[in-house]
Formats: sequence, structure tokens, C-alpha cells
Amino acid sequence: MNPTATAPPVLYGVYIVLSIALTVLLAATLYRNGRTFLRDVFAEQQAMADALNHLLVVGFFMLNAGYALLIFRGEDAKASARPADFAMDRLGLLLVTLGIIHFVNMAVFWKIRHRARMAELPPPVQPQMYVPPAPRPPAPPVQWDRPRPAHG
Amino acid sequence: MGLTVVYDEHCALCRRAREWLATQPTYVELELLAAGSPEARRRYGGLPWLGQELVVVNEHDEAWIGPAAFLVAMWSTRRYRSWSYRLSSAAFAPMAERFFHMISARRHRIGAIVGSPGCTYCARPEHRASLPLPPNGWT
Repeated sequence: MNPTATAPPVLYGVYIVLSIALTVLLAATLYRNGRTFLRDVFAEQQAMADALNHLLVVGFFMLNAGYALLIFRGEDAKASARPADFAMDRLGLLLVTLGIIHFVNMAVFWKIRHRARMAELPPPVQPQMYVPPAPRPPAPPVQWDRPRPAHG
Repeated sequence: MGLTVVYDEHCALCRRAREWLATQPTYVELELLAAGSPEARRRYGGLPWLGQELVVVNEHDEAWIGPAAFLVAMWSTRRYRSWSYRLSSAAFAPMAERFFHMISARRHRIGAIVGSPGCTYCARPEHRASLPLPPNGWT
């Protein structure tokens, strides 16, 4: 085997197929469930919810695929000595990182949703008494403008 | 939805609180009214606690007085709405009511400590006869 190779080419192939499959699977799940969630948050702007959902999935795709490719390199000795371990190691790192990002994302959504709910809640305590409205002060007499004399 | 907050303009703490509330982003429109102002007396002159306790009135002429009024003022702000619910819950209510009562009863002493911003809109203080006790909080 060529000593300068970082990992056997087959490993690259397997890794890429695996990570792309994972990305597609996760993106599809996010897209489906994220839509329900965002439509609830942006109740009166459905188009906005769908647009945001789409943009988020695109961002997720870029982040996921880019990160998957970025972390799969270097460490010649380790990669060529135990290629399967190396691939699993990287896939694990990828999943854990994305999981963390995912939960942060969900927390932000939850916060937005919570805030949207807050705006509609009634006061925490019932009013204690009724204050009969005071009589309005008498309106000032209306001053009618006299019709202006027409200018010459 | 709009709320009218009627505060005691003769107390430095209340004036500070008014300035603070005026700067807060709120969910509902707030009208801040000095208890001694002619407008307040015209509208809410019938309320015995006017100027003595914090009074908040909604657009249906329903009023909260004392501790409950503090809570509703809190509820109007964006930042502290969640706290108003927390404080109204069974766990916090007794403590919060006592706290608001305490603040209200000692507002002049507390005001003397925190210092007094000037008051250009204050009416002349008037003597008030002894009042009935304010209604208890919300529990």
C-alpha cells in the first residue's frame, strides 16, 4: 500500500455514502417535523414558516455535509492501520456534534414559541373591582367658522 | 387592550418606578397617570385607595388595587410577564403579596434612601382621612 495514502479509497467511498445517507435522512426528518413546529410559531405567516423551514434545512445540509468532509482526513497512520475504526470514529464525532447543534436549535425555537404564546396570555389575576366610568366633561361649544368673504 | 396605571406622584420611589415603566417595552399600551392629577380624580375619584395604593385599571373599567396592581403592571411588560405568572402561583403568592404590601407601605422611607428625582407634575399634597384597609392581594 502506498505509505502516503491517508485512507484506503474504499473507506472514502463507504464514509461518503454513509454520511450522505445520514444527512439526507436527518434533513428529511427535520423538514417534516420542523414544518409543523414552525407553522405553530408563525401562526399568521404560513409562507414565512415554510420559507424559514426550507432555509434551515438547506443550512443543515451544508453544515452536515461540509463538516463530514472536513473531519475525514489526516492521521495517516491511524487511518491506514485501522480504517474501519477511523471511519466509525469520524461518523460518531459527526453525529454527536450535529446532535448538540440540533438541540440548541430546538431550544431557540422553543424560546420563540414560548414568547409568541406569552403575548396572548390574560393577566395573572382577576380584576378586583369595577370602577364606574366618570361622566365626561361637557364638550366645549362648537365654534362654527363664519363663511369667509370671497376675495375680490 | 390598554391599562391605566395610577401612581402616587408624591413618592420618589413611585416616580422612579414610573420612569422605569415608561422605558419598558410592553405588550399593552400603558397610560401613566399621577393620582393627584385632575384627570385621575375625575375618572377614578370614587376609588378610596387612589394615591394610597397602586391602582391599575383596564379598558373595561375594571381595577386592580395594591399587590394585584403591581402584578398586572409587571404582566404588561415584555420582560417580566413570565415572572408575573410565577409570582401569582400558589407557591410564590403569599410571599409576593407581603413583599408588595411592604414596598407600598414603606415607599416614602425607601424613596428617601434612593433619592428623589424632581417632580414637575405633582399636585399639592392633600390630607387624607384614614382609609379602609386595601383589599387583600389576589389569594
